[in-house]
Amino acid sequence: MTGQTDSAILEMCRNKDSMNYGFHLLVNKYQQKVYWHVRRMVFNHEDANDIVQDIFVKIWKNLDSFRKESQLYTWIYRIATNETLSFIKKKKRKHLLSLTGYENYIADKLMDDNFFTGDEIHLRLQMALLKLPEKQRLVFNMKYYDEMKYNEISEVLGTSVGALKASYHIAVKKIENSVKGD
Amino acid sequence: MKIKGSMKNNNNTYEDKENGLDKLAPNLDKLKKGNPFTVPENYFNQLSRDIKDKIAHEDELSLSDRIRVWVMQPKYSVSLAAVVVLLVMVFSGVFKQQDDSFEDFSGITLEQLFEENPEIIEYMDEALLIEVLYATSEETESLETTDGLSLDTNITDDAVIDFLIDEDISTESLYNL
Repeated sequence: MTGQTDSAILEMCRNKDSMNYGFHLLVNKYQQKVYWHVRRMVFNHEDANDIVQDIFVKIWKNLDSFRKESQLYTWIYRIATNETLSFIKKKKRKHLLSLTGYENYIADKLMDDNFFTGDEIHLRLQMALLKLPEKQRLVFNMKYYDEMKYNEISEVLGTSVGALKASYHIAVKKIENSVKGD
Repeated sequence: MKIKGSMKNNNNTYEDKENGLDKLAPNLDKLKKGNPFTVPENYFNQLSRDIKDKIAHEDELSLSDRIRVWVMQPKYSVSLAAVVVLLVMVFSGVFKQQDDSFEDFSGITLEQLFEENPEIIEYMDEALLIEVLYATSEETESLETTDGLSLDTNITDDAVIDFLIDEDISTESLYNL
């Protein structure tokens, strides 16, 4: 069912009679990729679930405005990234005046999270990721976990390949120091 | 039951080697790319249904609901309240221009004006009244006073002097008035 090409899915989405089915295929094809992209940014399942639903509602509403020049997955990643970043921004603003701050709140949640099964070294890795600036974390995740090419990441984030390489290099160095556990 | 999240690879790849991860971050390179996160059982099957429901719910929202939601947002409700207050003020005549243009009186004579608006006298002091009478003297040869006497409006300086002499009114007494 998810073996359909993006162009076939888009064609179905553009046809009034098949648009619901087309969108159903689109969700099935991309929901896991989008979910993990978001989850690795916000760490906890509840937040990721809310964001992912909003992302697909947005995709549904904006399918008409999708331009063929960019690839479907690039467009979806871009929407997912923007939604996630704006969610984090709102959360940070909300925690601005709290004693703990957003990062500590997430760290505490992660340690008690039933949906986190990593060992100590993975927890340390996630804590290191949490301390990275969001855009650096994004680049690291897309490169390290999603194994995307720099030019693909560049299309999604609208950042030059050179800047992405520098950003990844800095992120890797910071994480290495945390993982070493000095 | 929790379901382990799927990842692209569990081991570091050629891509990582090509990026020099083993040299740049040997400890990170040694770490298996396992996914420490999990999701609730059957989550992804349920997710597509939840998305479908959410879209259906949003589509069902009527226009009035959308307006209500929009209006209830603080940034818009303040502006809307200001607009309502402004409209009330406009329609209640707060900004209505006072109808005091002299052009409105151009078509009527002073007599008609006093006749139709006797209360206007109360708003005029004597000096102003005389000024008005003189100003209109060219149009009106004479005016009748309220007690029916004819008031000559063509009074010259000589006539005034004659009147003062006849009535034996000294100029000193005039200064002392």
